[in-house]
Amino acid sequence: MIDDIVSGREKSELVLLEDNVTHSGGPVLKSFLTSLTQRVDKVHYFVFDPHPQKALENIPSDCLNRIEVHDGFQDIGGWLDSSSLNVNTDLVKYLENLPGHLANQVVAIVINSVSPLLLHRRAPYTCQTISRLARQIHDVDVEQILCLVHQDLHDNHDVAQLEHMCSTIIRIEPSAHPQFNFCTGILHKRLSGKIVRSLEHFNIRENYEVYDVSDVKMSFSKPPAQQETTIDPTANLTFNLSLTDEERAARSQVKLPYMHDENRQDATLSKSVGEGKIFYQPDEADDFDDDDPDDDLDI
Amino acid sequence: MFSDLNNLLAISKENHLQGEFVVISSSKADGSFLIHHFLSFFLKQNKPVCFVGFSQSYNHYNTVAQKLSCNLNAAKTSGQLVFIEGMKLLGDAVSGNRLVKGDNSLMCNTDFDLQKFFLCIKSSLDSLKVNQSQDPVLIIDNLSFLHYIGCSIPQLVMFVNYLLGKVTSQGTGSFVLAIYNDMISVDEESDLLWKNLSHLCSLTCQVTGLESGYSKDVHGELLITWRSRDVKQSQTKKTQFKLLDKNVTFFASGMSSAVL
Repeated sequence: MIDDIVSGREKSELVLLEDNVTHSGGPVLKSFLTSLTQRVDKVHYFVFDPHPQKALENIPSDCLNRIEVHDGFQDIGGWLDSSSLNVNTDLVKYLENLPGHLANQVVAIVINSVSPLLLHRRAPYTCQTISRLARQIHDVDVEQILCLVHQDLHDNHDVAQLEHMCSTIIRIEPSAHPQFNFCTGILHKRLSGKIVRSLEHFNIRENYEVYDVSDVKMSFSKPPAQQETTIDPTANLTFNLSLTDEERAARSQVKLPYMHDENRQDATLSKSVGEGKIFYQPDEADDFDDDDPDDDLDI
Repeated sequence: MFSDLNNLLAISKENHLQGEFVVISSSKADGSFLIHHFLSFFLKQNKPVCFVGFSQSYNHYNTVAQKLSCNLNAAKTSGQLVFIEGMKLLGDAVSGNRLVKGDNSLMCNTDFDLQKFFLCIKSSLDSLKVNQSQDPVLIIDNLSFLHYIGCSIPQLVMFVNYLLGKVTSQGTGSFVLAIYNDMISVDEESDLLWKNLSHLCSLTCQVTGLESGYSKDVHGELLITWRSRDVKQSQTKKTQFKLLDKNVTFFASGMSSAVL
């Protein structure tokens, strides 16, 4: 699934890539970048997060001439020069006013990352900007918009707003297998309306090609596994708490000293004459409890 | 300068943190030894250093540096070190004291004006670069004080963004930043600041106290994380330390000489 989405075999208009501090989405983003350069005339790459040099590190040189980098990092708040690209810039107008802006081009837009926009301009503005980028750029056909978001920096509500707009949500997860470096949870809304979920392991080559994709069993297979793990407190005891049928039958055979037993009664009667004996024969109203013979006492 | 610490951080003669952004966080233990280490380390490498001290006065840093056989006064006179007295700026900001007049005042309607402060640091960095013909190192101890006097997290993140862009844009400067982040009683705001900085930086050093409380023989734990870059995974090292008068000893968890 992930290789289909990255390579464009599975169409998706708006892709949201969610990462966190421990699992960076940088390599997956670069896979998208290199793949997009093969499919469109120009990739507009907005960099708000790390240095633009680092954001392009190790990208094959034949891809670089199709990527136009827009540096929003050096002057992110417009402190030095308010006319340069910063978080307050209207990205749609910025793209339309670019000197090299050509009509009838097929372009892709990559934003690395939207977290500064969410932090400084709040979620509604960010959602609005992304949706306008998808639809309202004059005379330009936008093939795909890819947004990276550091989901641990924002509350769930803000991230959920972004997720609602997007056609594909890719979340970087910790990889459980040592032979795979990456793991992603994907929620993809197909053009037909079908929604596909998957959790996949994969690796990325030096040239940012995705390979070795393998499905991980989905999380809904987990509940039975949890039931299995409910602990039986009577297991592993050094003594026996339960009875087998044989043991139960044997126990019912045991004659207790106070119970009526003709043989024993006769033996005792014949043996001792003149001594007082009490024999008790339980009637129907008596309720003998073997486990707690004293329960009729009011203590 | 602690040579053991250099080994732990994988700092060698060829690689001394050029173009790197280091964030140090302290929680329930004192991480200032890392700041003193980096200050004396960079001065001994003949790097120009701009130091912003919010948590201690210049004399304090100077005394500690002398113990690490490093003379701040000499570095200051030779122009290798620029020391910005952050404590004075904080005092002015809190008391609304306008004694510092003119363009030097960082006050702007009783708010600490981070934009002006950035421009002030930037001019120090620029002059250091011109005089020493090398990309300078910036050390800030400790950013949390700006948060305590009322700067919001988005403002602080933006401030750090600008400093980072300024210092490491050429790939040869270094930026060391310390914050307080109490991991145990969760303070959402400082946690958010910590996460934002962790996304920007390449190396984090987390100093935490022992879970079991204060110990005379083990002063705390140090968790070093080199953030993943590209296809490489992130690397972490965890160690315990004990601070001595002029040195610091590191040992694996539970391997303190007091325990064995």
